[in-house]
Amino acid sequence: MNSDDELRDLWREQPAAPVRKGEDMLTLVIERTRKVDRQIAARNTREICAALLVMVTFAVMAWHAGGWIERLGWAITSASGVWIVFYLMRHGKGPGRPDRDASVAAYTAVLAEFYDRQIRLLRSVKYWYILPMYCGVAIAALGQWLRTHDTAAALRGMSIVTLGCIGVAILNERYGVRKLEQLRAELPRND
Amino acid sequence: MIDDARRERFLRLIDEYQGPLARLAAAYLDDTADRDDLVQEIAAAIWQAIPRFRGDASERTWLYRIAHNTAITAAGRIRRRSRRQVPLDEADGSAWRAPTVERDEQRRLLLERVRALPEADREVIVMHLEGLSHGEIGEVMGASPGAIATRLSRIRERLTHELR
Repeated sequence: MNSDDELRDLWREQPAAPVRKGEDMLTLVIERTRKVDRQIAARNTREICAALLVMVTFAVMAWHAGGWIERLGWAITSASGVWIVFYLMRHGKGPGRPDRDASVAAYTAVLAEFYDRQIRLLRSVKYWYILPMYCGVAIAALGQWLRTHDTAAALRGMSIVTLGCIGVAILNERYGVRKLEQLRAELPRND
Repeated sequence: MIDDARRERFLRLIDEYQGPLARLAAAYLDDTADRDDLVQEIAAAIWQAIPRFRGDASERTWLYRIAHNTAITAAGRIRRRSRRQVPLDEADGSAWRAPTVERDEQRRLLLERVRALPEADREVIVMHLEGLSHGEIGEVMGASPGAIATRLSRIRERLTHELR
Protein backbone atom coordinates (compact mmCIF):
# COMPACT_ATOMS: atom_id res chain seq x y z
CA MET A 1 0.00 0.00 0.00
CA ASN A 2 2.34 2.69 -1.17
CA SER A 3 1.21 4.91 -3.95
CA ASP A 4 -1.26 7.75 -3.74
CA ASP A 5 -3.43 6.15 -6.40
CA GLU A 6 -3.70 2.94 -4.40
CA LEU A 7 -4.72 4.88 -1.30
CA ARG A 8 -7.27 6.87 -3.29
CA ASP A 9 -8.77 3.76 -4.85
CA LEU A 10 -9.03 2.14 -1.47
CA TRP A 11 -10.62 5.24 0.02
CA ARG A 12 -13.25 5.50 -2.70
CA GLU A 13 -14.16 1.84 -2.41
CA GLN A 14 -15.82 2.42 0.95
CA PRO A 15 -19.23 0.80 1.10
CA ALA A 16 -21.66 3.23 -0.43
CA ALA A 17 -23.88 5.11 1.96
CA PRO A 18 -27.61 4.93 1.23
CA VAL A 19 -27.97 7.29 -1.70
CA ARG A 20 -30.76 9.82 -1.41
CA LYS A 21 -32.45 11.52 -4.28
CA GLY A 22 -31.69 15.23 -4.37
CA GLU A 23 -35.39 16.05 -3.95
CA ASP A 24 -35.62 13.87 -0.82
CA MET A 25 -32.51 15.54 0.59
CA LEU A 26 -33.95 18.97 -0.17
CA THR A 27 -37.15 18.09 1.70
CA LEU A 28 -35.12 16.84 4.69
CA VAL A 29 -32.92 19.92 4.63
CA ILE A 30 -35.83 22.35 4.52
CA GLU A 31 -37.55 20.52 7.39
CA ARG A 32 -34.31 20.54 9.36
CA THR A 33 -33.72 24.26 8.75
CA ARG A 34 -37.26 25.10 9.81
CA LYS A 35 -36.90 22.97 12.94
CA VAL A 36 -33.68 24.77 13.91
CA ASP A 37 -35.34 28.16 13.27
CA ARG A 38 -38.27 27.14 15.46
CA GLN A 39 -35.93 25.96 18.22
CA ILE A 40 -34.00 29.25 18.16
CA ALA A 41 -37.21 31.28 18.21
CA ALA A 42 -38.57 29.18 21.11
CA ARG A 43 -35.34 29.59 23.09
CA ASN A 44 -35.29 33.35 22.55
CA THR A 45 -38.95 33.58 23.59
CA ARG A 46 -38.25 31.53 26.75
CA GLU A 47 -35.31 33.77 27.69
CA ILE A 48 -37.32 36.95 27.18
CA CYS A 49 -40.30 35.54 29.11
CA ALA A 50 -38.05 34.48 32.01
CA ALA A 51 -36.49 37.96 32.17
CA LEU A 52 -39.93 39.60 31.97
CA LEU A 53 -41.24 37.31 34.71
CA VAL A 54 -38.36 38.29 37.01
CA MET A 55 -38.86 41.98 36.29
CA VAL A 56 -42.62 41.96 36.69
CA THR A 57 -42.65 39.72 39.81
CA PHE A 58 -40.13 41.83 41.70
CA ALA A 59 -41.63 45.09 40.45
CA VAL A 60 -44.98 43.99 41.91
CA MET A 61 -43.23 43.02 45.15
CA ALA A 62 -41.55 46.44 45.24
CA TRP A 63 -44.91 48.13 44.68
CA HIS A 64 -46.50 46.29 47.59
CA ALA A 65 -43.47 46.46 49.90
CA GLY A 66 -44.04 47.54 53.50
CA GLY A 67 -41.15 50.02 53.72
CA TRP A 68 -38.75 51.98 51.55
CA ILE A 69 -35.71 49.77 52.20
CA GLU A 70 -37.67 46.68 51.26
CA ARG A 71 -39.05 48.50 48.20
CA LEU A 72 -35.56 49.54 47.18
CA GLY A 73 -34.36 45.93 47.49
CA TRP A 74 -37.10 44.50 45.29
CA ALA A 75 -36.67 47.34 42.80
CA ILE A 76 -32.94 46.52 42.53
CA THR A 77 -33.81 42.83 42.02
CA SER A 78 -36.32 43.77 39.33
CA ALA A 79 -33.80 46.06 37.63
CA SER A 80 -31.17 43.32 37.76
CA GLY A 81 -33.38 41.34 35.33
CA VAL A 82 -33.06 44.21 32.83
CA TRP A 83 -29.34 44.45 33.54
CA ILE A 84 -28.79 40.73 32.89
CA VAL A 85 -30.61 40.89 29.55
CA PHE A 86 -28.61 44.01 28.61
CA TYR A 87 -25.32 42.40 29.66
CA LEU A 88 -26.03 39.23 27.71
CA MET A 89 -26.93 41.23 24.62
CA ARG A 90 -23.85 43.43 24.99
CA HIS A 91 -21.23 40.82 25.88
CA GLY A 92 -22.77 37.45 25.17
CA LYS A 93 -23.27 37.59 21.45
CA GLY A 94 -19.78 38.67 20.38
CA PRO A 95 -18.86 38.28 16.74
CA GLY A 96 -21.38 35.46 16.36
CA ARG A 97 -20.74 32.24 14.59
CA PRO A 98 -18.74 32.65 11.42
CA ASP A 99 -20.04 31.76 7.99
CA ARG A 100 -19.57 28.12 7.19
CA ASP A 101 -18.01 28.96 3.83
CA ALA A 102 -15.02 30.70 5.41
CA SER A 103 -11.68 28.89 5.27
CA VAL A 104 -11.23 26.26 7.98
CA ALA A 105 -8.49 28.37 9.63
CA ALA A 106 -10.70 31.48 9.71
CA TYR A 107 -13.74 29.52 10.85
CA THR A 108 -11.78 27.81 13.63
CA ALA A 109 -10.26 31.11 14.80
CA VAL A 110 -13.66 32.82 15.07
CA LEU A 111 -15.13 29.75 16.74
CA ALA A 112 -12.27 29.70 19.27
CA GLU A 113 -12.92 33.39 19.99
CA PHE A 114 -16.62 32.64 20.38
CA TYR A 115 -15.91 29.88 22.93
CA ASP A 116 -13.36 32.06 24.80
CA ARG A 117 -15.96 34.81 25.08
CA GLN A 118 -18.58 32.40 26.40
CA ILE A 119 -16.09 30.95 28.89
CA ARG A 120 -15.21 34.45 30.16
CA LEU A 121 -18.91 35.21 30.46
CA LEU A 122 -19.60 32.09 32.54
CA ARG A 123 -16.51 32.59 34.72
CA SER A 124 -17.69 36.08 35.63
CA VAL A 125 -21.31 35.06 36.26
CA LYS A 126 -21.07 35.89 39.96
CA TYR A 127 -20.36 39.54 39.20
CA TRP A 128 -22.86 40.38 36.48
CA TYR A 129 -25.63 37.85 37.21
CA ILE A 130 -25.61 36.84 40.85
CA LEU A 131 -24.28 39.95 42.64
CA PRO A 132 -26.90 42.51 41.49
CA MET A 133 -29.76 40.13 42.18
CA TYR A 134 -28.30 39.00 45.51
CA CYS A 135 -27.76 42.60 46.65
CA GLY A 136 -31.38 43.41 45.84
CA VAL A 137 -32.70 40.40 47.75
CA ALA A 138 -30.38 41.11 50.71
CA ILE A 139 -31.56 44.73 50.94
CA ALA A 140 -35.20 43.62 50.72
CA ALA A 141 -34.58 41.01 53.45
CA LEU A 142 -32.99 43.70 55.62
CA GLY A 143 -36.02 45.91 55.05
CA GLN A 144 -38.36 43.07 56.00
CA TRP A 145 -36.34 42.32 59.12
CA LEU A 146 -36.37 45.97 60.19
CA ARG A 147 -40.13 45.95 59.76
CA THR A 148 -40.95 42.58 61.37
CA HIS A 149 -37.85 41.79 63.51
CA ASP A 150 -38.35 38.15 62.54
CA THR A 151 -34.70 37.08 62.55
CA ALA A 152 -35.41 33.39 61.93
CA ALA A 153 -37.46 34.11 58.80
CA ALA A 154 -34.84 36.54 57.48
CA LEU A 155 -32.02 34.05 58.04
CA ARG A 156 -34.04 31.24 56.51
CA GLY A 157 -34.84 33.31 53.41
CA MET A 158 -31.29 34.53 52.94
CA SER A 159 -29.91 31.01 53.42
CA ILE A 160 -32.13 29.67 50.65
CA VAL A 161 -31.21 32.54 48.33
CA THR A 162 -27.49 32.14 49.14
CA LEU A 163 -27.59 28.42 48.46
CA GLY A 164 -29.42 29.05 45.20
CA CYS A 165 -26.82 31.59 44.13
CA ILE A 166 -23.96 29.24 45.04
CA GLY A 167 -25.68 26.55 42.96
CA VAL A 168 -26.01 28.85 39.96
CA ALA A 169 -22.35 29.88 40.29
CA ILE A 170 -21.16 26.26 40.48
CA LEU A 171 -23.32 25.20 37.53
CA ASN A 172 -21.97 28.01 35.36
CA GLU A 173 -18.39 28.32 36.51
CA ARG A 174 -17.65 24.63 36.78
CA TYR A 175 -19.93 22.56 34.57
CA GLY A 176 -20.71 25.21 31.96
CA VAL A 177 -17.08 26.27 31.61
CA ARG A 178 -15.89 22.66 31.52
CA LYS A 179 -18.28 21.85 28.69
CA LEU A 180 -17.19 24.87 26.67
CA GLU A 181 -13.52 24.13 27.32
CA GLN A 182 -14.11 20.62 26.02
CA LEU A 183 -15.71 22.02 22.85
CA ARG A 184 -12.82 24.42 22.40
CA ALA A 185 -10.29 21.66 22.86
CA GLU A 186 -12.01 19.68 20.10
CA LEU A 187 -11.30 22.42 17.57
CA PRO A 188 -8.64 21.41 15.06
CA ARG A 189 -5.18 22.87 15.51
CA ASN A 190 -3.74 24.22 12.31
CA ASP A 191 -0.12 24.21 13.38
CA MET B 1 -41.55 29.78 -2.32
CA ILE B 2 -38.16 28.31 -3.14
CA ASP B 3 -35.87 30.10 -5.55
CA ASP B 4 -35.52 27.85 -8.62
CA ALA B 5 -31.85 28.62 -9.26
CA ARG B 6 -30.99 27.87 -5.65
CA ARG B 7 -32.95 24.65 -5.80
CA GLU B 8 -31.32 23.55 -9.05
CA ARG B 9 -27.85 24.26 -7.76
CA PHE B 10 -28.54 22.37 -4.54
CA LEU B 11 -29.87 19.33 -6.38
CA ARG B 12 -26.86 19.30 -8.71
CA LEU B 13 -24.40 19.64 -5.83
CA ILE B 14 -26.04 16.83 -3.87
CA ASP B 15 -26.10 14.63 -6.95
CA GLU B 16 -22.43 15.32 -7.64
CA TYR B 17 -21.03 15.27 -4.10
CA GLN B 18 -23.20 12.88 -2.11
CA GLY B 19 -20.54 10.14 -2.31
CA PRO B 20 -17.61 12.35 -1.25
CA LEU B 21 -19.72 13.86 1.55
CA ALA B 22 -20.65 10.41 2.83
CA ARG B 23 -16.96 9.42 2.84
CA LEU B 24 -16.08 12.67 4.58
CA ALA B 25 -18.70 11.90 7.24
CA ALA B 26 -17.20 8.42 7.63
CA ALA B 27 -13.86 10.05 8.46
CA TYR B 28 -15.52 11.75 11.43
CA LEU B 29 -18.12 9.28 12.72
CA ASP B 30 -18.36 5.53 12.93
CA ASP B 31 -22.09 4.99 13.34
CA THR B 32 -24.01 4.84 10.06
CA ALA B 33 -27.00 6.80 11.36
CA ASP B 34 -24.67 9.45 12.81
CA ARG B 35 -22.93 9.81 9.47
CA ASP B 36 -26.25 10.24 7.74
CA ASP B 37 -27.12 12.90 10.30
CA LEU B 38 -23.86 14.71 9.57
CA VAL B 39 -24.40 14.54 5.80
CA GLN B 40 -27.85 16.08 6.32
CA GLU B 41 -26.36 18.80 8.49
CA ILE B 42 -23.76 19.56 5.82
CA ALA B 43 -26.50 19.59 3.16
CA ALA B 44 -28.48 22.06 5.29
CA ALA B 45 -25.40 24.30 5.61
CA ILE B 46 -24.89 24.13 1.83
CA TRP B 47 -28.53 25.04 1.27
CA GLN B 48 -28.18 28.08 3.54
CA ALA B 49 -24.87 29.14 1.99
CA ILE B 50 -25.92 28.92 -1.68
CA PRO B 51 -27.32 32.49 -1.81
CA ARG B 52 -23.94 33.77 -0.53
CA PHE B 53 -21.89 31.95 -3.18
CA ARG B 54 -20.29 34.59 -5.39
CA GLY B 55 -17.82 32.43 -7.26
CA ASP B 56 -14.75 33.88 -5.51
CA ALA B 57 -13.57 30.32 -4.93
CA SER B 58 -14.25 27.25 -7.03
CA GLU B 59 -17.51 25.51 -6.23
CA ARG B 60 -15.63 22.45 -5.03
CA THR B 61 -13.43 24.28 -2.51
CA TRP B 62 -16.46 26.28 -1.37
CA LEU B 63 -18.36 23.05 -0.76
CA TYR B 64 -15.48 21.42 1.11
CA ARG B 65 -15.11 24.49 3.32
CA ILE B 66 -18.74 24.19 4.32
CA ALA B 67 -18.48 20.44 4.78
CA HIS B 68 -15.41 20.55 7.03
CA ASN B 69 -16.54 23.57 9.01
CA THR B 70 -19.88 21.90 9.64
CA ALA B 71 -18.17 18.67 10.64
CA ILE B 72 -15.91 20.54 13.09
CA THR B 73 -18.89 21.60 15.20
CA ALA B 74 -21.50 18.98 14.36
CA ALA B 75 -19.55 15.71 14.54
CA GLY B 76 -18.76 16.04 18.24
CA ARG B 77 -22.33 17.02 19.05
CA ILE B 78 -23.79 14.14 17.04
CA ARG B 79 -21.36 11.69 18.63
CA ARG B 80 -22.22 12.83 22.15
CA ARG B 81 -25.94 12.75 21.41
CA SER B 82 -25.76 9.30 19.91
CA ARG B 83 -23.73 7.87 22.80
CA ARG B 84 -23.69 4.63 20.94
CA GLN B 85 -20.37 3.16 20.17
CA VAL B 86 -20.57 0.83 17.26
CA PRO B 87 -17.73 -1.45 16.34
CA LEU B 88 -16.16 -0.28 13.12
CA ASP B 89 -16.99 -3.47 11.21
CA GLU B 90 -20.67 -2.98 11.89
CA ALA B 91 -20.55 0.75 11.41
CA ASP B 92 -19.10 0.75 7.93
CA GLY B 93 -21.79 -1.55 6.68
CA SER B 94 -19.54 -4.52 6.19
CA ALA B 95 -20.52 -6.45 9.30
CA TRP B 96 -22.23 -9.10 7.26
CA ARG B 97 -18.97 -9.94 5.55
CA ALA B 98 -16.05 -11.45 7.36
CA PRO B 99 -13.13 -9.14 6.75
CA THR B 100 -11.02 -11.97 5.54
CA VAL B 101 -10.42 -10.51 2.14
CA GLU B 102 -7.26 -8.52 2.30
CA ARG B 103 -8.77 -5.58 0.42
CA ASP B 104 -11.62 -5.25 2.90
CA GLU B 105 -9.21 -5.37 5.76
CA GLN B 106 -7.00 -2.70 4.19
CA ARG B 107 -10.01 -0.46 3.56
CA ARG B 108 -11.20 -0.89 7.12
CA LEU B 109 -7.72 -0.13 8.40
CA LEU B 110 -7.40 2.97 6.22
CA LEU B 111 -10.66 4.39 7.56
CA GLU B 112 -9.61 3.57 11.11
CA ARG B 113 -6.23 5.27 10.67
CA VAL B 114 -7.78 8.34 9.01
CA ARG B 115 -10.19 8.68 11.94
CA ALA B 116 -7.33 8.42 14.39
CA LEU B 117 -5.49 11.39 12.85
CA PRO B 118 -5.65 14.83 14.47
CA GLU B 119 -8.61 16.71 13.03
CA ALA B 120 -6.69 19.14 10.82
CA ASP B 121 -4.61 16.27 9.36
CA ARG B 122 -7.79 14.29 8.79
CA GLU B 123 -9.35 17.14 6.85
CA VAL B 124 -6.27 17.47 4.66
CA ILE B 125 -5.94 13.77 3.87
CA VAL B 126 -9.66 13.34 3.17
CA MET B 127 -9.53 16.10 0.56
CA HIS B 128 -6.32 14.67 -0.88
CA LEU B 129 -7.91 11.22 -1.16
CA GLU B 130 -10.90 12.82 -2.88
CA GLY B 131 -8.55 14.24 -5.49
CA LEU B 132 -8.27 17.92 -4.52
CA SER B 133 -5.01 19.62 -5.49
CA HIS B 134 -2.66 21.17 -2.92
CA GLY B 135 -3.88 24.59 -4.02
CA GLU B 136 -7.52 23.62 -3.51
CA ILE B 137 -6.83 22.08 -0.11
CA GLY B 138 -4.92 25.25 0.80
CA GLU B 139 -7.94 27.34 -0.19
CA VAL B 140 -10.21 25.25 2.01
CA MET B 141 -7.86 25.22 4.96
CA GLY B 142 -6.62 28.80 4.67
CA ALA B 143 -3.01 27.69 4.21
CA SER B 144 -0.42 27.90 1.45
CA PRO B 145 -0.03 25.01 -1.04
CA GLY B 146 3.51 24.56 0.25
CA ALA B 147 2.33 24.11 3.82
CA ILE B 148 -0.26 21.61 2.62
CA ALA B 149 2.37 19.67 0.66
CA THR B 150 4.57 19.41 3.74
CA ARG B 151 1.68 18.35 5.90
CA LEU B 152 0.49 15.78 3.36
CA SER B 153 3.91 14.29 3.03
CA ARG B 154 4.01 13.72 6.79
CA ILE B 155 0.49 12.26 6.91
CA ARG B 156 1.06 9.97 3.91
CA GLU B 157 4.25 8.69 5.43
CA ARG B 158 2.44 7.88 8.63
CA LEU B 159 -0.50 6.25 6.85
CA THR B 160 1.49 4.13 4.47
CA HIS B 161 3.74 3.01 7.31
CA GLU B 162 0.71 1.95 9.36
CA LEU B 163 -1.00 0.23 6.45
CA ARG B 164 2.06 -1.67 5.32
